[in-house]
Amino acid sequence: MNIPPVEFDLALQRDGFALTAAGVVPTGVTAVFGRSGCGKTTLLRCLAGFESGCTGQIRHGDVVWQSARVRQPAHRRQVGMVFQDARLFAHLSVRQNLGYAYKRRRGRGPDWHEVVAALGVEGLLDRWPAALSGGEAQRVALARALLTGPALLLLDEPLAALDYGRRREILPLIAGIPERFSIPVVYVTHSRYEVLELADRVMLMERGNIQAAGSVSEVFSNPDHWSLLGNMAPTVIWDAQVVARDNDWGLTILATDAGRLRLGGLDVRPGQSLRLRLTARDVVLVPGQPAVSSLLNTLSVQVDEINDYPRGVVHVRLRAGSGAVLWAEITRQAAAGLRLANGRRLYALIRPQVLRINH
Amino acid sequence: MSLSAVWISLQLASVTVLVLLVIGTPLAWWLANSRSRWRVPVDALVALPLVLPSTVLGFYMLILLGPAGPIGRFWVAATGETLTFSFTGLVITSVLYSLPFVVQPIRDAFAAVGRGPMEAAASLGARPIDAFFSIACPQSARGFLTAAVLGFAHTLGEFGAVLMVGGSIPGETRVVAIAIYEHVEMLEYGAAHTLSAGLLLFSFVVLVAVYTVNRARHPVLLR
Amino acid sequence: MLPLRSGLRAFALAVLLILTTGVSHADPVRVAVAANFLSPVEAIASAFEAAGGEPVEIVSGATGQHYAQIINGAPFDVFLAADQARPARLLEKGLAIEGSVFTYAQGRLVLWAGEGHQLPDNGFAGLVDHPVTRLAIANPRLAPYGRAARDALQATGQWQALQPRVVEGLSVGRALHYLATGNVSHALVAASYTYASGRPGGAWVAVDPSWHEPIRQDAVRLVNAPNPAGARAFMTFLKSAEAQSILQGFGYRAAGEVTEP
Repeated sequence: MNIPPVEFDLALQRDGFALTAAGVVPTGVTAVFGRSGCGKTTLLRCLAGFESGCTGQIRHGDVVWQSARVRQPAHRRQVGMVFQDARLFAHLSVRQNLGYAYKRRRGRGPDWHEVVAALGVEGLLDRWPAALSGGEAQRVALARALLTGPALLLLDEPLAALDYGRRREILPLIAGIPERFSIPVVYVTHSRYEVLELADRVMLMERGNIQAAGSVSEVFSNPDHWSLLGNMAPTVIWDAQVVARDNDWGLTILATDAGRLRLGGLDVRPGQSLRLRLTARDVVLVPGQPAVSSLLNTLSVQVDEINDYPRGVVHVRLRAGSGAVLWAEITRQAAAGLRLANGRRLYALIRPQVLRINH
Repeated sequence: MSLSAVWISLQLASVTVLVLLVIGTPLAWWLANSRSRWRVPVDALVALPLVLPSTVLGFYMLILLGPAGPIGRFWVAATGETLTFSFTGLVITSVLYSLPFVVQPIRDAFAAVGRGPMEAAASLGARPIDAFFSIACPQSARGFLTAAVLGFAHTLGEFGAVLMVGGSIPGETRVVAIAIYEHVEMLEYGAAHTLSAGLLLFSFVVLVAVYTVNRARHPVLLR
Repeated sequence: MLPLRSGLRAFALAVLLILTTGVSHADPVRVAVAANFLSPVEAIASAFEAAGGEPVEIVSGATGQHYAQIINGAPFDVFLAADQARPARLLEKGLAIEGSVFTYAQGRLVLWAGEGHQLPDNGFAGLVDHPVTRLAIANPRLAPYGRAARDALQATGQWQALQPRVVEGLSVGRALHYLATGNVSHALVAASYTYASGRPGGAWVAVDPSWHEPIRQDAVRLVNAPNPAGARAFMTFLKSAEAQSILQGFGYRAAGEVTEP
């Protein structure tokens, strides 16, 4: 199914704050990440049509939501929105809240029963919003937004007020929306874990501007963005494909740019894709290929760059396989023992972490 | 005579509240949501009857509504009737006089609803007028109740302006407050007591009812 | 703590001193007067003071209100009522001094036509056949001028026909206000208004006093007067030829001219 992207090029001027943002929201989950006050919520509100001072263009495929001459009001844009505080209507029951959206749906939208089942709100239908927990309220809010038949789903930190357990329940529900209902999702957050676990693409915002946009692995693996991402230690994100299962040992064989990797403890099928994270501390460098080790994966790597770091620490950039990059954090003493120099070939024992599995 | 005064008062209060709900609701909405520089002056204008002696209002209404006044002249030309000393003139005067008692509770209720639910409704495809009736009004129900009751009770108790504009015509403009005043002046304290105690009891019961309903789930509206 | 308390005591003492000196200082004569009679009384009071009398403090208001205040102990010396009923009742209650009651003025009624309206050719009696949109009178149940106006209309057989167009003002002043603002075409009001400096425009004609009970305004000295001597002096002056000529200048019939109905 062909889902048209949402393209925008927007500006907003307010006391002491200016937003200038252009980009494309393709299908999948696009995270908008930044510190509070960077303008990410304002961007979302511009897309939804809530900011009257917002100028510029928004197009959804061939449909113009906003341009120099046109300005569709919020209720005419095919946009579903979920707010941080859910904003369920207190004078309506859960069923009536959902019905409110269903009665006003624009175009063809997902089936009532499908949405209710997907978000697990059957048991809540006859409750009142005041009697819902935070997680329940957000699930109802998500269901309500989906029932309007949106062409774009905007989520404004929907999990910010929830505890860890509730987040773990709801994150997979959100991750499944683009594929299940064919709706692109824009997800505003200041939590990089939510980006890593949920998003396909990410826009990094700072002071009203989009500083970087691209796939999560591109953006997170780029050292230029580590400070914006919250003083992150050297990290790379790899996309991996399940190519085989070794049922004798219960291992999964993954194909990555760095080569083949073997991981245990995964419940996946061949063809599925995974997102892996490899931080510099999960990389061990050795001069020769070890005969055996407790870490299953050994990569042949070449030193690309050596950065001295304060307090006796060295960050080493390495290349593996077909140009994949990884980082190792080692002590200066170890660096001397390994006779580190650009171009030197070594072996890296790695322990990648599975961030998410795409179904 | 007294019974007809009670009947006229009840009619006047009912019609006044109806008119005020119709014109006061959009005004309250505008006051709660507008960012216009006219909002503050209009807010103050609405509150004026709270601080002005009712005779001031009556004095100006007599001039405005009189057959030579700007409104009265138009009315005479259109209907052949004069506005002063008529039930219609009383309604106009009472509408102005009770305006803050109806507009302010509704305005505060609308402000308490805030923009959040209205934005949520818009994102669910509700056009503004739809969201107004389906979200803002039901969520402001207590404000409307307070407004209606206060407007009704206040119109019932109004005296100065109504006496000035109405001219105390029995069966037409002599309301219960004027009847009470006349009984007192004529030293008919028994009749004055009956009407006064009735009015006092009625107002008390109504206010207790409103406070009770408001206390029940929404303590913000009436303090 | 202590300095503060002694400071407070000094302040309280000072306030007390000011209050007591304020009360004991040169007893004025306090006169409660019907609002429509304010201007003549002011003129009479200055004449009284010029003739060596004590200073006069005038409290103007509705006669009914003054009556209620006197019953509740208001410190007036003299009560100039707008009617005869209230002083009589004070006498009954023992709050007014026996024998002090006298009619200080007699009101007269005029028919006033507002600007742009005509008076009937044959005067008051022709009102019923005249184009009258609305006729303002004072409340006949409350105000002596209102009762006189109704009596006069009944005596001339015009009440029945005119009643639907009659508008009652709370007081005779309010009735004239209706005329001044153009809300009525005609009004039956006190003749004293024709002498007032801020009177509205239009034309007026006197109403024959024989068509209504005389509008007698009675004065009385009060039993609880703080200044009985001053009250007596003021009352004596009120009966003097000088005061009576001032009254005529304001459109009142002097007390001596007795009208036989």
